[in-house]
Amino acid sequence: MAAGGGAAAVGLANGSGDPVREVMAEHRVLCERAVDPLEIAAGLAEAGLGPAAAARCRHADLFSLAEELYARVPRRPPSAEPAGPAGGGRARRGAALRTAGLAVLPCAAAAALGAGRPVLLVAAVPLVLVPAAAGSTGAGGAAAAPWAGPGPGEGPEAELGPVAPCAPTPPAGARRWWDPALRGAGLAALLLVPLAVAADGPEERRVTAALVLAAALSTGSAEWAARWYRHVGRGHLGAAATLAEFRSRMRPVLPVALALHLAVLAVLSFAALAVLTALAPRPGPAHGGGLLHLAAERAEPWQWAAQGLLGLLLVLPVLLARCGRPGAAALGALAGAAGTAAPPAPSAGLLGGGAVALALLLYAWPVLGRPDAHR
Amino acid sequence: MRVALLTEGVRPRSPRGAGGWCDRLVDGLREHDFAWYVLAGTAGTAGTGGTSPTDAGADAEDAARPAVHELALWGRRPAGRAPGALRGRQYAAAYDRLVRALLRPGERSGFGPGLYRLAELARADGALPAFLVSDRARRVLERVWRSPGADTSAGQPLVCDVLVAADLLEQCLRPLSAPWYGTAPGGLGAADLCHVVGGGPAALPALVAKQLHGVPFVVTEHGLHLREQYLGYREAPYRWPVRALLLAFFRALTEETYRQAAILTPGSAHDQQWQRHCGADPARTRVVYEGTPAVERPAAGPEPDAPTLVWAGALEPGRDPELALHAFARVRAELPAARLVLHGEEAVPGYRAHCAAVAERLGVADAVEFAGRPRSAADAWADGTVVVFSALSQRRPRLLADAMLSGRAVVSTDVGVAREVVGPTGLLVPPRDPQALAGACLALLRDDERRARLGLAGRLRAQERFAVEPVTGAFREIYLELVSQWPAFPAAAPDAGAGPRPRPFARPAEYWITDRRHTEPPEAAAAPVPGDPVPSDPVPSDPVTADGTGTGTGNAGSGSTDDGGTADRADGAGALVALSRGRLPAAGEAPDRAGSFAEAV
Repeated sequence: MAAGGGAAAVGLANGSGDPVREVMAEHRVLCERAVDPLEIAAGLAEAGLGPAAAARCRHADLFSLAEELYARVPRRPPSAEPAGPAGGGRARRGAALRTAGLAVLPCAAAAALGAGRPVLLVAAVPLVLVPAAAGSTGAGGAAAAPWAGPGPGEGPEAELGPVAPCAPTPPAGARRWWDPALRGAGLAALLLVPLAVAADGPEERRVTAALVLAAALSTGSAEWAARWYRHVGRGHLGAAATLAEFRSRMRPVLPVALALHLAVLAVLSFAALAVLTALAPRPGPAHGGGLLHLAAERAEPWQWAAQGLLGLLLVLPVLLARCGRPGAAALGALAGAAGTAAPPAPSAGLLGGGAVALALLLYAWPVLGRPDAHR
Repeated sequence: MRVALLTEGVRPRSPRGAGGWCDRLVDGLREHDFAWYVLAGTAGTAGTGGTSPTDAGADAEDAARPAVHELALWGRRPAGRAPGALRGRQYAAAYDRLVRALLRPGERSGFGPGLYRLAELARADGALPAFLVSDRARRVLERVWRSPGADTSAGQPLVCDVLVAADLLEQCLRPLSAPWYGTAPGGLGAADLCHVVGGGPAALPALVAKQLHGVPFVVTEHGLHLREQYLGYREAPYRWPVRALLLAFFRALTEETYRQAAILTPGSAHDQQWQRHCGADPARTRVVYEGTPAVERPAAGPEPDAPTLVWAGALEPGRDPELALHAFARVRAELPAARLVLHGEEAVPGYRAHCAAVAERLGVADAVEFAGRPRSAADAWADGTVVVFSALSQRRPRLLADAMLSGRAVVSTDVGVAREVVGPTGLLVPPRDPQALAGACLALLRDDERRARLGLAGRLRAQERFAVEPVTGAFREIYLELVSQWPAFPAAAPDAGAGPRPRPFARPAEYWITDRRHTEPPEAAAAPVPGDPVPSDPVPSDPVTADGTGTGTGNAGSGSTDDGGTADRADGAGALVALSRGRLPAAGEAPDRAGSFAEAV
């Protein structure tokens, strides 16, 4: 491409007596990027040079001319690496808002119908996974298989148009066949949600509904954290020199992502309780302290613990789905739902959910640290 | 004779569509049994699905339907578990050897052993694809890549490079774990010879079959795979280290293929030079031009009324339609009635608009027509008085040959295969020289008699060289020659290592073309020992055979036509120099020049 008419003018203006130098000046980019002399020979032949040009440079053929050029021009790969997709932060924010909206609506509906357990939220996880699995067409990795040789023998009409592009390899992350499965799981979970009737009293139901709504909103932050995690991973993929260095670089990132999500969840829960307290104060005798104090005291400690567990059960499947493990993600989401919903008592549900969260964490820690999770 | 035809199908089923080269070969050699082994572009079904040749409707019961085995070369990795610890160590050792051969300039000779060792392991348990993307393989790759001796002259590899390169190598090496080997019916070991059409990864099964079962193979390349890779990877979205590694792989694979191939049949002498540079033995190389059914086509009808130049090709800078436009502007200054028709679609977005702008700037826009893709190439040639090729490179002869078959006179830039294909029957001008191109076009447009003579001569030359029958004839002889030199059923030979060395010509050639549909040869039924490695040093081919085909097949003797014709080359060079100096040949001296061209034919 660089061998245009302007480059030829440069060669002429050079005016030196060395014809090799002229060829070198004309095809400098080709020579700098070539991986071996044969590539230069192919490029020179493609640019219209033939045996005559090689003879002018006092070479027997194009190959020996290419070897001289390869030896004389130092290698210099293109310095400007293709940067990641611009506007990644904006895309992350948009996806987070979308996910939060998607999760809040069914959860609000189910809460209005009356459900006493935060299982609602876990039921919404498959809904979160739907856009995650559908939209995780990775940009990195081996995009295509470009070694398709020339066709064995087509008609001459084949040269009259553009060469048909190689069939692109579907990226490792895009597994479309999960899509209907996730949708089905989400719908089934939503249908089951109204059946999960607990509701001891109106007070606890109110608090639970507020916490569930807050957690549903926090699915947005889970999505954001997952996308951010992958974004950081991709950055390190392009910066780390060795696999071991990549692992050590990625080690602190997962705790940070989890902590960010949990912090957002805590803030959201607190805000939801504050709104609840402002709208509908706790029945009974008036307590001292301001609104914030009342809001903090509105939920029991075990409810806060359950909320934290829910946060973990939310963010881990989303992370797994984002990093190319949709199967494990769906399994984790369903196991989380089952673990929290199946036991009759809240404490048992807490234990079950905790076990599932622990198992997920133990699985995700090595898996998410691998380089191929960030392709 | 059982011939395994190994090709790479870029698009599924395309190589076997109507007009495919392989189809014509299979149709022409009905006496042999062909089996297709296709590396399909997308996930294909690995199995046997019969596809009949194009005209099998007439004699469907007669035509043995060739079996088709497909293997997906791209797409998702085939399922399979990674090898266990012990096997994994063997895999890692073989892979380490292969990768070292690619990355360390001093250890290139390890490519073949590493490859064959991987193939052996993969044949035993099929865990190669899973191994190649495992962490272990990546660690091996990274360790070798970052070791001091590796050739990383333009940058060290990063983690992403290791990942991408491991994936690409996995896809490239997928044929090693194809379920095609073995001496059972349908396996490559049961074939008498392999015919690789296209080179590249398609040659991998043939290499392995030769190593495991001693089956010789022929390589036919129309347009060199390695050169296409070098050109294609310039646009590939890979970083420099990945590009270097993959191209090193293709180069090593090509060199190994050329070393091991019994016969190489490049599609032109231009390609033959490349092959020779990559280590092909000239004694085992025969040029077999790509036959085209267009030789049966009648010549184009009467010329159009207005003097018209026809240009055909994809609209892209490499085809250089701008040169044709600039030359046409000069032609039109002399012949105001002249027209230019450009056939072809744009291959670079916006390039057609660019060409139209150039035509506008040159003031010839009203006489230039962008005709798009024609219904067939024959229609394109019929539109013109003279056919013009202004490309910067001509890697394949088919478009030039098609134009010559129309009987129109051809003006081409002297690049690539043009000199070899057009020879003395057309005018060759240096590339990037509008003055010379315009001079050649004007010389032909002004001289009806010379134009007709060159057109006819070109048509005859193309008919002689690019007919289908010489191709099938050449391969009939090549097949017979090959198997007559090779010991029959080498895997069944008793103790091939210590026993008497298998003698060439031990069996008459007729042995191989007995009609096995009626009489099954007894040796074929005797199952050879599977996997019995045979010292596969090929019997050195006789020099007698090399020049024997030169006379036997009319189209294979490129040496006599291209290198021998020094007289007409000197004549053509004279015309070329005259044109390149910008001196338009006077009307008086043109006819005798054309006469000398035609006499040379």
